Amino acid sequence: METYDDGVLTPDAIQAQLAEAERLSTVAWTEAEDIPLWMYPVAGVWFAGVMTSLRLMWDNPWWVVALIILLTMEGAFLGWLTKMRKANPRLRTMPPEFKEAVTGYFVGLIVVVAVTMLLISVSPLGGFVFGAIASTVGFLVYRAHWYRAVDATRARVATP
Amino acid sequence: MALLAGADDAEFSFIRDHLDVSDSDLSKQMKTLQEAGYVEIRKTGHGRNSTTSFKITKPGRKALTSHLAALNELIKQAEAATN
Repeated sequence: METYDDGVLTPDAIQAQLAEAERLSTVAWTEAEDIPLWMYPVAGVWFAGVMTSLRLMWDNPWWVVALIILLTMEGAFLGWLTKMRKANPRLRTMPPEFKEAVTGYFVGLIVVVAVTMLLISVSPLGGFVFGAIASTVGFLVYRAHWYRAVDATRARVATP
Repeated sequence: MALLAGADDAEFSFIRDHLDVSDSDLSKQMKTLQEAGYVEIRKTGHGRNSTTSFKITKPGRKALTSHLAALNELIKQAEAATN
């Protein structure tokens, strides 16, 4: 590290420290490992299952059992994901590049849930199929936006 | 500390790999940070399946913010002195 004769850091060395701190603060976001691609359609079917169970349990309480099973599966998946990724990105310190992807995810989630719930009321099977396809497509679009944000963040914090 | 600031928590191996430091160096630094109250250490599992993860505390986040602000201030002063 570059210092003056009295050991004080030079402005360049301080800038380098600040740049490194900025880069490290984004690492949990940019280096999060992706899940295997086949998990996206599985997640889509799972999500459609949750929405179908939620909607149908109004008419038949036995659907609660399906919902409990699906939520238990989610718990197991999240446990596995945390172990696999080794670091959990903190939403409150999200790099600005990720805002579009994360906002889009939640907006898309609301739209898919609303339309799927409506369709399930008319045709449970049709709603389930729509929910599974729409969720899978939504997850894949989110993934694409996420990796675009990763590239943009890496480019911003890259040290020369 | 900056790495932990961007994460809810992070495992030992993740931090070590991204900081490019040895196991013993990281252990020592984390112990010092824990003693200062800047980092919380959580150990789960046993034997080969055990994992150690770290989480920055509120005082730790505050200290990091102050440190970065002080560095930025130094840069400002250096720039003012050269202009």
